[in-house]
Amino acid sequence: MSGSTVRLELPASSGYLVLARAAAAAMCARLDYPLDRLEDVKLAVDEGCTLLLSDTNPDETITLVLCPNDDGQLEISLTATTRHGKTPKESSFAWTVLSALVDRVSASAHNGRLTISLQASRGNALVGS
Amino acid sequence: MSTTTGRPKRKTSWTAESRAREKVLLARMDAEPAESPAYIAARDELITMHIPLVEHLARRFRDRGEPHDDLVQVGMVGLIKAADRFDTTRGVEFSTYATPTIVGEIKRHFRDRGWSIRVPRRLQEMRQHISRATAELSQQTGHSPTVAELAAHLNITEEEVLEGLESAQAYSTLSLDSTTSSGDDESDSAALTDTLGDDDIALEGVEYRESLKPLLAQLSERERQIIMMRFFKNMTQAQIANEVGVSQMHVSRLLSKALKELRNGLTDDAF
Repeated sequence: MSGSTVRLELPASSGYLVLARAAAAAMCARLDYPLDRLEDVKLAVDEGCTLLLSDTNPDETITLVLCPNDDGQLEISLTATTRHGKTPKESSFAWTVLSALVDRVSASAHNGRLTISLQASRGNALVGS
Repeated sequence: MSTTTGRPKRKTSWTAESRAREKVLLARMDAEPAESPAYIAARDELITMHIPLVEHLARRFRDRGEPHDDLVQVGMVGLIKAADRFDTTRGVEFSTYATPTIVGEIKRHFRDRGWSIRVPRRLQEMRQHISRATAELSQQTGHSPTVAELAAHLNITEEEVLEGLESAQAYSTLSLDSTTSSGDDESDSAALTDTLGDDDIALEGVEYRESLKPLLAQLSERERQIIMMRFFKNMTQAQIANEVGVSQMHVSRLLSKALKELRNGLTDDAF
């Protein structure tokens, strides 16, 4: 983890998603991501948290870690203790959404803790078709 | 295509006659034991008489992103509560008593949806400025602007830009198809009608497509189109904005709103 890592612990409740989104957005702004990527990252964090929330007890916490890597990409991990303690199906809608929003998505489960890892580059898609 | 939601120009014809009828009904409700058929009939009629009041009050909250029908529905809850609690000995008109109860329910509905009733004006304006600047800068530079570029362009701080973006998102949790009169200069693109066939192709090989299809069908044309473009054809938000002819911020709002709706329908599909 580099010195500019941000770690946020959130109560597992949808009311706190705004904080997760805000942190992700601010990090993207720091990394000078273009707006459409910033919005994608926000949406991905929102989607990832919502995915965790669907399998988390309300008294749990979600840990959000935002870490810019050496390649200038943003690595994001979302971790919580879940009921099933297993990774989400890759055929699920949420997974499809996450895969479309960021460059890489992976999940791992250890001892009931599920981590969803996202990697988002700043992208350089040009406007126009 | 600007579909201004039709606002029926109905004058409340609160005649002396209906006023008299209301008195009769209230007196009957007073006299009859609750739950008796006569009480229930009077209560029903009193409630029915005041549906126009609910509709009127609900219209005061139009353009805030909630469908009118939903507001009427929660307003009705307020009306029913008022009918059950009204005390004729207080000497106020029923409508006077019912109004705050109805408005209270409507406001509560907005609160429950996580959106305070009043978007601070500053943020509303900010949202519009950012939206416009994003379009301008994208046009000029050929790429989606960064927060720093927007801040410089608008002569505001980066934090303010982020705040404006987030307020747009909060706004989106409610509304997005009802933006026609909210001052956005985004025009709806016309030709988005032939999407269902496309959906089938894009959904090929998606395991859950049978459960997804009816949900997609419930979205508005535009939301469905944007969902397909972003998640199944992997177009960027900027590309979609360009193709559909709305701002990128609007695409982002539509996406997050549509996603929310889809999620509600697809509960527990992930594990």
